[in-house]
Amino acid sequence: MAPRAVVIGVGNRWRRDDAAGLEVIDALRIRVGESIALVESDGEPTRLLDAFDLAPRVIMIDAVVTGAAPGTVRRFTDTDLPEGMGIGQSSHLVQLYETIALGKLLGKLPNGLVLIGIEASDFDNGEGMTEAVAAGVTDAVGAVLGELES
Amino acid sequence: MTSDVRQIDVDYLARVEGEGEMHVKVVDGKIEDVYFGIFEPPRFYEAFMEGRPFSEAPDITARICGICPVAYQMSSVHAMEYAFGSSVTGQLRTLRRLLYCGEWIESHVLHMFLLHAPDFLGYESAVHMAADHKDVVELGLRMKKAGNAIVTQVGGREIHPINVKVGGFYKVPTKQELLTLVPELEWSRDAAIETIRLVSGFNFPKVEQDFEFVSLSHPLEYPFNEGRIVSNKGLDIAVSEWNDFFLEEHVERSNALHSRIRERGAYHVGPLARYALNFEKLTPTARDIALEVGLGPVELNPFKSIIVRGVETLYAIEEALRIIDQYEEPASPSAELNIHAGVGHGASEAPRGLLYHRYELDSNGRILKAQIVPPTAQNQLTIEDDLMVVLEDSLELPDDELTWLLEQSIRNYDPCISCATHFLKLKIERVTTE
Repeated sequence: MAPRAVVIGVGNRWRRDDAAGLEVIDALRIRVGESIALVESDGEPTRLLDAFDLAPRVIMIDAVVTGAAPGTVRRFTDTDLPEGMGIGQSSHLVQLYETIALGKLLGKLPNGLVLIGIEASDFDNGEGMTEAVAAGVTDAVGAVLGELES
Repeated sequence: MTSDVRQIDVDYLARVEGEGEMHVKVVDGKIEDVYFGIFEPPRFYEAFMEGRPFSEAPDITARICGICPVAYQMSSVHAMEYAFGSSVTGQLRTLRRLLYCGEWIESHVLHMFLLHAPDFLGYESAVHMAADHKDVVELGLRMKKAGNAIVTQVGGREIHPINVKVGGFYKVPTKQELLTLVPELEWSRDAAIETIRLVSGFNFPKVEQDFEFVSLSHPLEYPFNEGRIVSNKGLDIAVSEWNDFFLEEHVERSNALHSRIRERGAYHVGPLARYALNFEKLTPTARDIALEVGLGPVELNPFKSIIVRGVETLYAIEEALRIIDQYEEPASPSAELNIHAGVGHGASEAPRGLLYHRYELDSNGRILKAQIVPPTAQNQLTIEDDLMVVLEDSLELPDDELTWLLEQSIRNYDPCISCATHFLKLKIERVTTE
């Protein structure tokens, strides 16, 4: 059975708060069934473009920097992506918003995309998220489950 | 005395993964200072590994770079095997070459199509280029997927491969699993030839430098994992002699270490260097097409590195097909290790160039000290030299065009991801004194 939605967490577990998107995927593993594809991404653009092909609905989770309080969870769509998106990730040769634009241009996102952004603050080398962002991960899991129910 | 200062600040160099900066200062029409600097997570990883078992090095160092994890794994396992006096041979050795082929295809194709080609064609980004050249971008993406498939199959998963261990692999693929890769690789071989023809038609700034090229050299193979470190100016040393002939030094204004050849200075690692020092080891198809599109057996124009990346991509595809054709599943996925105290050295050819690792181990195989010298750090002085040459010829250009050209020059070296990290701040400062 082809999945009805793909949820893509973007991040780097070794850059502190940048792990947020991947932590959301970890939490979702025991909460969603086979109809949802879960993908971990380091932001590498071509693999992200491949992941867009997995299902008609695409939900992405990423650490963002928009100036909000750390841990704040916000919902964006492909038409109102935050400017600070993608900052702090280790493998953004092509910024995330560019990859999404490329995906649209190549016809890979016919139904658009929802981005759940988790405001992050610490992108230093090392493991472990800040407390506020760890709390934001819990909120983001709820936000993704809400999206999948709608 | 009055002074008139014009300066440009570019937030970041979008298509180089670099938390670094470039600063150019021009006083009264003369270049006073050129500086290119990157920050280096390897320093963090070196410290992080101290006290940890040797067996963790491949997994830890793979995280330094999202684009070339295989290179970090390979240099680390070879260093550990050197320390323990073991060697990995036969099909296990060949499988490592196959894994490396996958990484070269991925990395080179990504750089050519999404990062460097837009520079040559006058597009701000791959997105802008794709709007006009959708078919070209799709060609690149499909080739890259063939490389991804090798890394996933042999490396065990899509990102940060986990199947590599000191002594070999945790699990080896079956012949049948590898054969599934063949159809897309065969398609990619033709696509690579088309790519080489395409990129060789770009306009190349007329810049040549008398580089000292440094790469591995192996008597029988185009180098991935093994060989001596050689140069076109007489260097010919064992990998274990790296620190005797090269020097890493701190440079003011940067936390990165710059490498130089002792008593000589800057050198050049990466595709141009490998190509110049190993041309005869390419496949006949790769050699022929290189000559057909106008490359010599040695190429001194750094902008033509994009063509050489195409040639190396073709080589990697053909080498992968050869390996799969001759593959027989080995009896055991890894070799036995005799763990003892020692010092290990390993070097391999990352897509961006020579990657050297050195480890000191105690009698239990715990890491006492780690040294990682990534290719971008080794190219740093050469990149500055190139920028100087480009600037001397192009100072009259308006700042926006000059900025473009300088970014393009830096991208000739495909500066690496976490070896450099996020943002490159570019600043051109023009001062007029009266």
